[in-house]
Amino acid sequence: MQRRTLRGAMVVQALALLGLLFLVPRISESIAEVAKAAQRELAGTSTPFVERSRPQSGEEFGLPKFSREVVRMLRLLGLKDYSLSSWLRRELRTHQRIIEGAWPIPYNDDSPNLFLRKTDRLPPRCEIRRAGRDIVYAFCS
Amino acid sequence: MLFAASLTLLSAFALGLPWTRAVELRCWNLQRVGLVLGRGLLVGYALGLLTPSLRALPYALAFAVLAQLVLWIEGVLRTGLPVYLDRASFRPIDGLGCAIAVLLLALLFSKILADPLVGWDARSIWFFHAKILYFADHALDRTIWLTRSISFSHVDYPKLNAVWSALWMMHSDGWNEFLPKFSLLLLAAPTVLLCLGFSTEFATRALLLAALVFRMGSTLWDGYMDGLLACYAGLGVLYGVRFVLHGASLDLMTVSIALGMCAGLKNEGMAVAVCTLFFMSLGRLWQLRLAQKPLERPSRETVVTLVCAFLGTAIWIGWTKLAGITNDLVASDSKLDQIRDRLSDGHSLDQIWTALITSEEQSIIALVLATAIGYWLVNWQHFKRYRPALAFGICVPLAYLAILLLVYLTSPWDLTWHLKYSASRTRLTLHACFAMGLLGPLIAEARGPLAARHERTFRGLRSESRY
Repeated sequence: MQRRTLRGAMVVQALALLGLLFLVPRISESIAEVAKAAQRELAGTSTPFVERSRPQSGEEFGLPKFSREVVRMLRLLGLKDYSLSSWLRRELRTHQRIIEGAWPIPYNDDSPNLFLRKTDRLPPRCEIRRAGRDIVYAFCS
Repeated sequence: MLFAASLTLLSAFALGLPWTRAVELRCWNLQRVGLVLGRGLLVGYALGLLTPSLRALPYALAFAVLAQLVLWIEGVLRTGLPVYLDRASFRPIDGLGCAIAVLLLALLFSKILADPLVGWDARSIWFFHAKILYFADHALDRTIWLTRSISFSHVDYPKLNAVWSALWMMHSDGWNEFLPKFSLLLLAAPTVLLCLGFSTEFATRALLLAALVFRMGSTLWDGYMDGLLACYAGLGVLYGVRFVLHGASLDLMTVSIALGMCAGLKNEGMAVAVCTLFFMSLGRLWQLRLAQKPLERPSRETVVTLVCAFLGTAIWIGWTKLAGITNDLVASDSKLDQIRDRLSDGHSLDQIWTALITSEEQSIIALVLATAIGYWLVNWQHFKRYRPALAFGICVPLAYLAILLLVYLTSPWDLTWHLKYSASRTRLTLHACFAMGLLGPLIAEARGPLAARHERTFRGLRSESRY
């Protein structure tokens, strides 16, 4: 009933749509981006699904290099908890990414398993057990 | 993986089915489908929070599917098989809408899973919480959420995405950076369905998809919750406008589900939900007074939907209060002093205002305002009837804007830093509410009346079958 009485509803909507498309470039960009992703999927040029389903897949994109190395060493060594050097703790992004990347292995300030950069000074009563490219694992008594 | 994805989507849908009249009425318009799916996601959220084992929950969901099947058979037997099989009572299926929905969801699926989690919020808040749930296997555990080392990740934030992401990952071999994002598709699916289900008119659908889905851009697939929040807030206002005008219980249920999703996604969503529900109730009362009609009694389905919509949020908020988990924004004292300082420094308010309303948004608001004013000049004789809906549509974004101003004025962080990292995303919700509040009354009438007609036809058939 109202659709007959309210004049121009469709015209107004069409105008609003055109205006939005014209004024908000993000709309057309989003459509293009989604279409491009689908095209890559169909052409088989995107990361294969098998690869995307593998545990820990994609960490290389999300974790900064120090965080990645700490997380990998933690898993490799099968440690129950860990602590970080003051530099790694101060670097907020690296620190946070280590904590979420290493989860469920908990961060513990009092842990004897210390990770530090190769260039960091080794604290007293700590012994280097393993050295990676940029990160060192030390056991502190 | 596609099989597991479809199964999860179906499980969520089946969870939303109990106590809906959709099966009984066979009224499968896209609004109904979106509503049932949204309800299922919110029921799953509440169950995911309460369950002692998330790993066991998929089996419970499978049981829910079976139980639903039994209920459906019971419904068919109760209605009478001949009536149920009568082709005349079937609602015509919205083929174009379904095709667009499937295509859009497939496109979003490929985009969402194409890239790993990279953004800070996505990694350190939303999907970190999902990872915690995945390994902990249960949600309500004080020792986990109060761990000092994870306090940076805003542990008090709602867990709708985290619960569904963790549940979905129970299918996989182990945690990674691609697959957990499937929860984004689960949460986005009702928005696509509700945009398409609002009307059968092509122009309306295109407008809603552009303004509510594609307008959100990368926030829909990069793991941030802001795009989804804005979509649901916009849908809540849009369907709220139609509820104020017509008072259909289906619209009220849709609003409650949209707002329930908002509250489950982010803390800001709770503010949107409160504003929308408050002004919608006032608007409806005003509309009833204008039409000189009595207040309607809500149906059982409506009450159940309202409870389902906010159950998960109520559980989470109640539990965080008991566990002593607080929000970092409210943790500081001397709020009034801070407001006074920022109001008197001469630049803070201006800074907040320009961060929330940029030049691009100013032109959009001008366009929407011009469209609305032009429209009501042409339809001036009907303006009186639409006043409550328009007032509702304008009051919600204004109230939300006031809340945002208050949040930024009382922010314990450096204002420039806080605005730099949050305003571009917070304003998405504000503008979605504003656009839908103003455009809503214009497009609220562009609804295909097929669903209502079908319900009437079917009721008629049922009453005939009794004799």
